[in-house]
Amino acid sequence: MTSTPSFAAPILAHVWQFRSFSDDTLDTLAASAERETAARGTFVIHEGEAGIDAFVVIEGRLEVQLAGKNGPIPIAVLGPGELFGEVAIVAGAERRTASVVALTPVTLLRIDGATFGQAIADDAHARPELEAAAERMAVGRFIKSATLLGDLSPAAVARLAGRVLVRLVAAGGDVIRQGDPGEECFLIRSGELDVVDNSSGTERQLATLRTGMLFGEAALLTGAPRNATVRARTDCELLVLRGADVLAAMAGERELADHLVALMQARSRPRRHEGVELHERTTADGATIVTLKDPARAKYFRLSREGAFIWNRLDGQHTLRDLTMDLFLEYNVLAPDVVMGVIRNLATEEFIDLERLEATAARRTRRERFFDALRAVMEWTYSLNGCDAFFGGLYERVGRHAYTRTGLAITAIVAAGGFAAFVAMAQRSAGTLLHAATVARVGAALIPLIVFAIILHEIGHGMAAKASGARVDRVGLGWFWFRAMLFVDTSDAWLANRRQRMLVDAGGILVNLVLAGAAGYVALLAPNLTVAAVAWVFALWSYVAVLRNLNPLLEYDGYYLLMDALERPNLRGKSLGWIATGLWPALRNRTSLRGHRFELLYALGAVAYIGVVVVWTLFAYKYTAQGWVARIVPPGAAPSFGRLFAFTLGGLALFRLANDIWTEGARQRAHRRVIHKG
Amino acid sequence: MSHDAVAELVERYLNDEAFRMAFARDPDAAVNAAGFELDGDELAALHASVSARDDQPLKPRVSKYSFGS
Repeated sequence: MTSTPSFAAPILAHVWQFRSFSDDTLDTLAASAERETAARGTFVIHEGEAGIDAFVVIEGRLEVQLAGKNGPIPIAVLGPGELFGEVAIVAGAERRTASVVALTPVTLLRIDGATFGQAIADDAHARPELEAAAERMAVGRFIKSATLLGDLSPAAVARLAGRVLVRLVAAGGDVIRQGDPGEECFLIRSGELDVVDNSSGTERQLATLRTGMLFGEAALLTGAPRNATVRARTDCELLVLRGADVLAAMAGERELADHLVALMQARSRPRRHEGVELHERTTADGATIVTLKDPARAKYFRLSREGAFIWNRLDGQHTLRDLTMDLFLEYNVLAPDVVMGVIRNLATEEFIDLERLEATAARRTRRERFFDALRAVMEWTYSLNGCDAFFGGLYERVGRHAYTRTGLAITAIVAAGGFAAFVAMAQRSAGTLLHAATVARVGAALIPLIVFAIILHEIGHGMAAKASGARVDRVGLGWFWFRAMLFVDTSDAWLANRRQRMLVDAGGILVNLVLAGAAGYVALLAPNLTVAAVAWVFALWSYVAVLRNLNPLLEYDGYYLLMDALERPNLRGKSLGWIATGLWPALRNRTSLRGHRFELLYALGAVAYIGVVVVWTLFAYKYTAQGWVARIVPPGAAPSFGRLFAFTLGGLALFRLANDIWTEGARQRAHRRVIHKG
Repeated sequence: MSHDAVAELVERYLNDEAFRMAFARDPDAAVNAAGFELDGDELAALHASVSARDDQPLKPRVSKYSFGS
């Protein structure tokens, strides 16, 4: 340490807290000051230790920290010209109220605490300014350590702390009144307040607020009038945060926006959307399954009996606190996390109204937008809505006969007998197909037959859905994993029981089996060899199509059959999501695999299947694409084009798989965050 | 029975981010650390399995048939 009064005076003159000091006072302070240095990581001040010297930063940066439960909480960063350590002197405290650690090598001016204290006492202007600065520091410390604003950056906390007002409210006083506009929110620095609802004419207490809690945020974020009255139960000290300041802080701090929205939702009184239907059924093992259906949007949501209990109370009057307490009293389960999760999921799927901030809810990252575009490349649909009347009419005239005992018996006979004929005619048909001219004719005849079969396949699903009492509101076309497709939307089958759903899943395949069987009979009985060959090849194509449709590893009929047989809704999404969220923990700790073996098995199968598809694509499409362009590009360029095309398709397939895993993983993580974090 | 401790716990959960995080990691530890004194029935309710945990939106069922199939 070296005594440097002449060096210190001009530095002290630039400290804004000292601007009211006379030259003599500054000289006195400078005479008491000593220059010292500290290495990076050195604690200049330790929270809780004795000491009253103050410091001015000459060079370098330091961080002001508070001790927190989970480690130090940074509350400010100091640079050249800034004063610290003065709070103890101003407040007359004997212990340091925060720690200060060097972020870089620093040079400081240490001012003797006793001299500094005397200088303040002698200057009428200095004390109020220093007290105000100390109060701002105390407010910042409170914001950082005791409230949900603790995740704000030190700079944002300092900005907020510099702008808050302190309001003292006597017990019994209203801080905000229901119905009033809201332009500010409040942090409780001390005291307790009651939240009261007057909307029904009689006062109903909704909650009690305590030190560290924030309130008044809902009107601020939504622009709606105050949704409740907040009344002081005891004498209170409140920090008043202006709306503009909070919104400015939120703009730069996504975490804060998330916290405030979560808080607002936790205090909300959710209301069911009108028109949502509740369907209840009992499974074979006696469990009750409730499915919500929003007919306007054709959306479905499965609820347990506890979920249905919550749903029935979403009348715009019950808070999450009410719902959690009601659930506790009715079912003896104490699960605020689950209640919050159900509410948030219902809100995300738009089955209920819940306050939210559009600016934060609708924002999509660049990666999400990229994956959206990729998904569109891999899967695109064009839909025709309002088709239920068509399917209903067709079912009444034709389809229902297939679902009688006689109809099912005929179906079985045609399918089984036709298959026998198909097997019997294999050798003769193969012989016919050895003639090139026959192959060309068979190929030409096969195309319309295949289109016809695909249309009938989809109608088969529709008829099975009608037989199960489900609506078929949407049909369409598009592409799925590089292939053109037709589809029918049988989502309404979610309301049916397991057997009925499996019937809907199998409806298209049954049609294919009947068509194949009929074609087998034609192959057996047709006198014309070419006609017989066409029928036999069509039957072959149909059987192959049935096998491919039974593949459960992509979302074809076999997948839905497996999902319904196991009563595991959203099986693929859950399994792929588990890879993203559960596989790594399971590899490190086998016990976390318990209960997830099926997800693991399915996900590995799905990934392996895509791997096979990609390898097959690289080989098959290379030569196919090469053949397409061979006549229109220079001879040397065709193989390159083929390779490029095949690698593009293979790459897209892998990207799509990665997208599915990432999206489902993000969904599961979000669900867990909702459940755990809120 | 008043269940005051449960009501207070629920309020704390809904209003206190740090408590929510602690509850997510270990409900028992969070409840103990916060000083809530739950009786035997209330503790059993805290540990009860909740089927609503698996409540979920149902994805559209689209029966599709690709021309390449």
